[in-house]
Amino acid sequence: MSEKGIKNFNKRIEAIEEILAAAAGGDFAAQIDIDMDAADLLTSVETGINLLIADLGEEVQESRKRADDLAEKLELIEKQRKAIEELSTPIIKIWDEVLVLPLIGALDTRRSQKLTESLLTEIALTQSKIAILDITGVPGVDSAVANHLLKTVSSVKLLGAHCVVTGIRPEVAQTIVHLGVDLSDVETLSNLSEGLKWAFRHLKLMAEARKS
Amino acid sequence: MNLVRIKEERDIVVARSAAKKIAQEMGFGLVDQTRISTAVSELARNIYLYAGQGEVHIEADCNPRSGLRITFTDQGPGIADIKLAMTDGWSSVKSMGKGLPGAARLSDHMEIQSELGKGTTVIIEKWLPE
Repeated sequence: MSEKGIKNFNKRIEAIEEILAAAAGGDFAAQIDIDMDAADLLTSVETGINLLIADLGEEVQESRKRADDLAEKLELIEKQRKAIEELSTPIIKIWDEVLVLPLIGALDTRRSQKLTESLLTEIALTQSKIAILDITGVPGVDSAVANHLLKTVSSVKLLGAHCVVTGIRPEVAQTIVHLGVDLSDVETLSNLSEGLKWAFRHLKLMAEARKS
Repeated sequence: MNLVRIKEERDIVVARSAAKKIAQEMGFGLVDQTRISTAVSELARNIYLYAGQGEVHIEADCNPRSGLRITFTDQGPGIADIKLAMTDGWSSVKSMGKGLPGAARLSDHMEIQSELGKGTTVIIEKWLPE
């Protein structure tokens, strides 16, 4: 079959089909050979297809690059998250037998568990008698966070140490009461310095008790 | 950000911060901001705990009063007995049982629609003081 005014019609249609098939398969490198000196009706179609495939190839390459970038960034975020997790639960031995945990950021299940674990290990290791949990830097205390705190406090008690929670902000205190969470079993104080005073008084009492 | 998808525990924090930010922009005081973000925390956690995933939609409008309306939707198992679920201290998953009743106390208005096997929608409103 040959159309009027179009040379090698079948062969050229075949070439177009091949190029399109290659593009469909993800190969955008191939182009249709065009004889510009013998331009006819089909030449503009061929040129159009060539341009389209070249554009498509570029687009695909760009989007692959974007996907790679994104994957790289996600990996970085995950790494940083882990780093923050490590950094965000420091346990400071501030005095003989006194540990301070300045908690910063949201407390989720995993972090709370990790926190309890490392606190218990540290108490056993340092023979500490008092742990001060400062939650000034914890943005929200909902029932789940309160529950985590209660669990931490009772496991510290099981080790024979005392736990005091400091840094409950006024608005947080009000919210906890509205929520209906009972924290009366937990020793709480307004701020870290009150916590330290409490710790020293407690240590003194214990020392006096040992003497007598 | 007015729509937060809850898929993992971390998303609860995202929903809470989004609600707090909008509440702050609307002129709610610090105590109300904390109430709102805590209520969102409780209800978003319910989505995560019971349904696995769902959505939190935060609107700075609750006709006819001016305030904040937050909708929590999931396609989870649904609540068998809403009255029981609203009881302080009752929980089907050994949590504190403060989520629903606590969120109700922290907000000015709460609606629950739930169908077993289909899912749950909880709407809370916090009104700006007039």
